Amino acid sequence: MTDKKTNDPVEPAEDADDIVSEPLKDGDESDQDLADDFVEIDETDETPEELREETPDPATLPATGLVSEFHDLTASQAAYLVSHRETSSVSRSPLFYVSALLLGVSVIAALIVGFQRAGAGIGDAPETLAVVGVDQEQADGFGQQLGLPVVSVEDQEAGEAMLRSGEAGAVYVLDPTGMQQASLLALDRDPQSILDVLNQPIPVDYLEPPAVAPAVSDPVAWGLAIVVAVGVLTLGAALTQNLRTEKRNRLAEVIASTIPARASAWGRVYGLTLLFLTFPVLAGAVLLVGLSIGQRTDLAVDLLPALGWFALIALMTAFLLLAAHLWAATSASRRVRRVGYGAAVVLTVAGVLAPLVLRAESTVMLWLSYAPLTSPVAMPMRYMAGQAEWWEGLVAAGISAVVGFIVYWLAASAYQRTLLRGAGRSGLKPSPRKRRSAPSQV
Amino acid sequence: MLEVKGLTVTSGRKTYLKDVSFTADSGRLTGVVGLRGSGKTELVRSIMGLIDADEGTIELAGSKLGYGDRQNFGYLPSERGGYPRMKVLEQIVYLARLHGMTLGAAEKNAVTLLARLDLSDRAYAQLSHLSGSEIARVDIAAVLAADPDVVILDEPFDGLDAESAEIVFGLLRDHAESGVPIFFTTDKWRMAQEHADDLIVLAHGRIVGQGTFDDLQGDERLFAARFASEDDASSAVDRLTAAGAADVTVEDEVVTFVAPDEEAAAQRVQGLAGLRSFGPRTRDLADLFKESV
Repeated sequence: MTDKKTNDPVEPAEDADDIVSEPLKDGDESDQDLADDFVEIDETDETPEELREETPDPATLPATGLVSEFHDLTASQAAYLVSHRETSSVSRSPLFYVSALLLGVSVIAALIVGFQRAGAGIGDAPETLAVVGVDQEQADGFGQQLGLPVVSVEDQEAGEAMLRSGEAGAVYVLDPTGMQQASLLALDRDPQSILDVLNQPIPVDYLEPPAVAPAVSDPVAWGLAIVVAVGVLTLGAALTQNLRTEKRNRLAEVIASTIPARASAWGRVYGLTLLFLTFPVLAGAVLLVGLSIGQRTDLAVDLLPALGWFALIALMTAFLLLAAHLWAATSASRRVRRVGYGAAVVLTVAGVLAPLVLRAESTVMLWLSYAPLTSPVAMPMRYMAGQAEWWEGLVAAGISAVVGFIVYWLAASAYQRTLLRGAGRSGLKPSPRKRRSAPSQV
Repeated sequence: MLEVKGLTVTSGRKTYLKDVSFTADSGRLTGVVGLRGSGKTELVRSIMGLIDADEGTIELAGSKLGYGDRQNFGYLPSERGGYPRMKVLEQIVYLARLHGMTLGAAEKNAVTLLARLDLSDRAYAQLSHLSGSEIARVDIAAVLAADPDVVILDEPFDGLDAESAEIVFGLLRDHAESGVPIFFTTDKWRMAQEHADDLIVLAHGRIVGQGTFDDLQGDERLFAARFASEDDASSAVDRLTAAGAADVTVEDEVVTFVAPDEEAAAQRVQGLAGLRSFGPRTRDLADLFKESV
């Protein structure tokens, strides 16, 4: 026998056997009890602690030791299982975290830009001031004094016409009785450059009072567009990826043999649509914190109607676009899948950008605010501009929901038809029959 | 008992299965062996109702199979991998719950099966972090977690090393003992021979042999005679053939031939020049397949 470290011979302990095998004497019963209670821990066992406690001893179980406890699985319950798997899988993916981070950064950037624009008077009205009740000569005199172009108008109606046509940024209205202070009339935003040169504080009235100043509403609109685009594209990519994984590993066959195909389709779209809500909630939370830090919580109240309607319409739009992603991903042909996926991405991006590009055209904006895909950005923009009635958001959400369910129905039908195609090497046509009727339908 | 009667599957001009009939008895392991492309996967997919058969019926305990009857079939497709980012335990529980199993029972069975398959320490690992053998065992656990009434496994040996295969088939045999028919396909002859109670040999979509391994051996036995030199062996081939021995083949100094029994074989080798040793030789499944085809 040698010492492993020193390689020197080691004498065995003479009484080693006595130490190991010495029986317990009287009075050592407590030690015996302890020995009985003692559970030997196998240090090499890597079983997690919580499992170690629950793992039954196979020797005590009959045969496999499996238990059989079943319940009638309804289509709704099957859809819930699928949706839970999808959402838990996606919400743990790096793509989801990166998207959420990107969204948070975007909202912070929008806040900073908004504050800067508000401070710099960007998004301001034209500089020309229209004055009622003076001739042009007096108006020119005012203009020289203020350093602004000043025009004379006959009455307030003429001034309002100039405001609406964009020829003037404000109308200077004198109280005919002379009892009250003069005021400025503006279209829908503060005539900041005019207010800056007037020596006295002066009240501003609006022809079309906006809920939110354009300096703030513009970045917010961009933020809403990013929320929809990032949310839908992230979840759409995950949905497509999971479907491909299921076909490649032939899990689609296991699913097809256990639950109705429509329950599987519904679970995916419904689950990821709910998960989409994470993005607006996250963006809203960052926005509120940012406004609090910037001491502009008053803006939060002004933004609330637009953001509320945005959440509802965006949810319906996400449902529609995720159904479109499902539809695109069902094809067994790689080329068709790529074209379909590309089309879904383009529709998503074009839908959120169109209102931002065409915001100056009020008639176009009216249509865009009702059209699916564009409505989640266009309708809140109209709310922020104070141009939309309370019920218009509901109508826009309804239109998106109806179109969404039509697209979902088409997608689910395609999914059911093609669930087994492209799964494995067999080129055989999958069984088109059956799809068990379930106790409750989704 | 799972009974397949006259199953024919075609697609265009190609015939995948032709008039396939067999019975997979409860409590027994039935293995279908055949080369790749022999129609094994099509047979499994037909049983699972995933492709339509042109002709034939599939019955379970005497009743024609309907869609709902397959809900508690444990099915293992031939591809491995599952959901790569999902944790092992979650995946097994999820798939068991799709069969209608309660959450508690699914979790209990998953833990039990992971212990049986020597995977307890991998319960919370992502599937993508497991080795091929571990993934193959997880797939088996996922199949059995719902305590299925019928087990259908397509190429269960894929990814399994010999030791894992022993563990897996020990578990499957225990499950079969509760009266469950276990049906699997493979192209690994020796594994099928070792683990299946009943064998079905499939070639070009047709059954070319079925029964227990002893049944497949037939009445005639294979014998081998070793000679002193290759020349002696070569000259023995002609004499054995003339003496009425069947299927005489030679490889180096060893001549194999078929005879009805040992006494008849002994008479045929008697007096052959250079004979060193002589005795019966067991034909393996691969030999039987070659003879059948």
